[in-house]
Amino acid sequence: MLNDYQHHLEQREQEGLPPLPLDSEQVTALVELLKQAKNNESEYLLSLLIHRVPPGVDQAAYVKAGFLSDVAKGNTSCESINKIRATQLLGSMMGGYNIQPLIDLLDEDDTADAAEKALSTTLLIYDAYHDVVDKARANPHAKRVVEAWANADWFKAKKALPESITVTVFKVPGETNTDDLSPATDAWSRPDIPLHAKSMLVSKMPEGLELIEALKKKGHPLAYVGDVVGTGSSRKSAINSVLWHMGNDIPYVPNKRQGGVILGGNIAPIFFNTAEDSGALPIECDVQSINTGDVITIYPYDGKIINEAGEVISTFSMRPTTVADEVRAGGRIPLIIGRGLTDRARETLNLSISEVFVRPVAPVDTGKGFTLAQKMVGRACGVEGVRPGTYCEPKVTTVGSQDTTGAMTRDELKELACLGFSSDLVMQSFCHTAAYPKPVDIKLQHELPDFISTRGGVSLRPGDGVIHSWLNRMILPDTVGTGGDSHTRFPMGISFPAGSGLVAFASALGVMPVDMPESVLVRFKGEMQPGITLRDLVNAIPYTAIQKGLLTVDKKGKKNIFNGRVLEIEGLPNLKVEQAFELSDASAERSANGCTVHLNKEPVIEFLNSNVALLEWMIAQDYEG
Amino acid sequence: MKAWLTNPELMERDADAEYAEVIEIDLANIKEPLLACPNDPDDIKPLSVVAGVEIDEVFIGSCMTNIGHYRAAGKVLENMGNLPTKLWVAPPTRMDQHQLTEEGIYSIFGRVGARTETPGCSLCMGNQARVADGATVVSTSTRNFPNRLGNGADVYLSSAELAAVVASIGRLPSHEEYLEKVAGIEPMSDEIYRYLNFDQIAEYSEINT
Repeated sequence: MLNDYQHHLEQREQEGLPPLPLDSEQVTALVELLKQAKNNESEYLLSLLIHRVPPGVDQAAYVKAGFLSDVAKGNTSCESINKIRATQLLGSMMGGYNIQPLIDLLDEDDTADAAEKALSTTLLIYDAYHDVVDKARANPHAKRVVEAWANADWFKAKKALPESITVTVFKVPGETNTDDLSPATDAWSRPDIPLHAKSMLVSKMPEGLELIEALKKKGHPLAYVGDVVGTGSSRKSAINSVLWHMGNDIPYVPNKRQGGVILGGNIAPIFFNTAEDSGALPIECDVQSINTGDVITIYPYDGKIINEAGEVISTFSMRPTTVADEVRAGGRIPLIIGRGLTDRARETLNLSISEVFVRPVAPVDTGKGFTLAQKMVGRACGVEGVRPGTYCEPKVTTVGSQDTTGAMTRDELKELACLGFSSDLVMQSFCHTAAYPKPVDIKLQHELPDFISTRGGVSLRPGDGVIHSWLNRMILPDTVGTGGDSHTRFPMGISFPAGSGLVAFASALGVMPVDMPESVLVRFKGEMQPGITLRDLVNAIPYTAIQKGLLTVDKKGKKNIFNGRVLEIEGLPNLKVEQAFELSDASAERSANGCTVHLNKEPVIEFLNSNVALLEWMIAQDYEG
Repeated sequence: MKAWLTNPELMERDADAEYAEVIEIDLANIKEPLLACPNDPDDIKPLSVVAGVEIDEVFIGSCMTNIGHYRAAGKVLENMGNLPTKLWVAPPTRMDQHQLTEEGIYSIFGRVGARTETPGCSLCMGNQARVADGATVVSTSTRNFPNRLGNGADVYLSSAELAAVVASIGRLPSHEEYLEKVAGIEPMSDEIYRYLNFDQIAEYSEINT
């Protein structure tokens, strides 16, 4: 195993890449070697076990957790790891297979302290929470774990977002879309983050990566700067690549980075959210006086950026208000999960709500009525409506995952320690790779359906077709959904498409974080003229917005009324639902966060009757799930 | 789903709902087809402004299409021989492909030499088959960012109906020429723009569950 691994190391090194994370077979072999190794020769083996195994519910993590658990409980011996060290290392695995052993170890005299410490800063607890609370009645260590959660020790242990951040600027002028950052032609390599990062900007700025290396020599971290950043698809691989070049290593997580700063005159909403999810600091500000090679200092709390001469060259306000907490927690997703755990523990202990976190502030209630989108999200939150600016976590009924982000979503689900979906329907498709699959695509087409169906999802088959055309037939009217493809835009109900991290979160937890956007109403009136099609009406939306000065084509100081808002369309209520999707689908091109289409009941009834027949046919055809 | 159908109620917005902006579009003012021009989905121009541009390849496919678009394209192309352009056709789902084959629409695509692709995203994302380097293209797909459909390609986004006309003549038509070429669609529109109601298609509805 070690010879093969050495060979792999050298091969990757020649390409300038770190080795791939260890798989379950390698970890099995590694464990055997560790058991036999003498203390003085085990350092290398141990470092592989500690740093090169993916956390969560990866199969390799299963082997690692099993071994460490055996050592910690004294079932097996290993000269280089004592019981306490084994317990500590279990605590670095984030969640999943390490949790039950750690809870057991709270009962053992020699490991209880270490297990207490490990669990106190572990967030992916899920249902095991009840086991710890039960144990807390008689076990003082378990009691202190619950108290640590309630005190948000996990959060306090992390470094707060600093008062000032000095960075060297890497600027890509004009618009960078997600395809520039993560080219579709290299979609196959996305799960291998360091390899995929080599394709960043290759056609947009061929000298980009060399420039990044040169700029790093100035000694500061780099900031990614652009006029318009992250337009287009929702692919998280775009942010993964940016952070691979500009972020920081994550302890105990191989080949992935977090942190980093992104400055944009205009940052596309999904890209902005994906940056938040990954623990980066996205800032929308005027970037016209910020250029490649500049050393600038960002004062996030004061909302200003100064150059080396000390002059203020741009100002901004941090948004959302919780972003400093997000950066501190290592991302919006760990923040939401951790904050939830703290809230839950305080409720158990009858304590008032924690004041450690910046809480989202609810906007002033205008007392006016709600838009269709505000009502749909409201129902998913159990209220009548949700005002723009409200942070909420609507129930996500439907989730779509497509193949070129599916492998990343799988990896994120493993990191979230997800063994079963909470969302009603999670659907996986193979529409992006069915026609001309590479060997790596074929492997995914074979492996992913099982991964999805064992967690309660449904997999389409290669050749079945585009995910949206299927998923639209599975949704219920007036519900909320999401998907890992920016065109997940329901023709009835509303979808907020997202990066693969958030898609995994929504699948696993059945809810998703939404900062409710404002809405833009587009109202059609009058009669359609001869020869005019729906696609022309799709295009009429930006066309009219340009004429009204609400949208500009030029990228410098670009204006886009739809950016980050919900597009709400009315005036064509008799469209068939298939037709309505043409309108909602194109809200992606507007960089809108979501879209609703007002329809009459009749076409919706017709569509659902059709879909019931399709679903029954699918069941008869043995679609799993 | 069945539960919803027993008591079908849809939400409606409140009359005094608040919007950041209200954009009213009078359909009477949309007199000719609108296209997104190379290479930005926001850069919309009326057909008459870009008429005459020579086109190399045409793609009819992606999630922006449904079965009606393929019947309409079939109608425009039904009496054609070889096309002056390379035409790509990729229906969104297996069911669309099957239905279009049953109806004989695929025989039209076959006769004109169209390249029919596996149902799915096809050219739209740019990670599967691609158009020729530097080609000028009319596409029904979602977005026309630089290099997405092909390296250095210039891509216009239009309706399937206009795309089919372009496929048949190799350039963007004048508005009059477009109206003439799609004249056959209107009288047949009930047949052409008919959607997949699986409950009314025997293959799907007559199953033993």
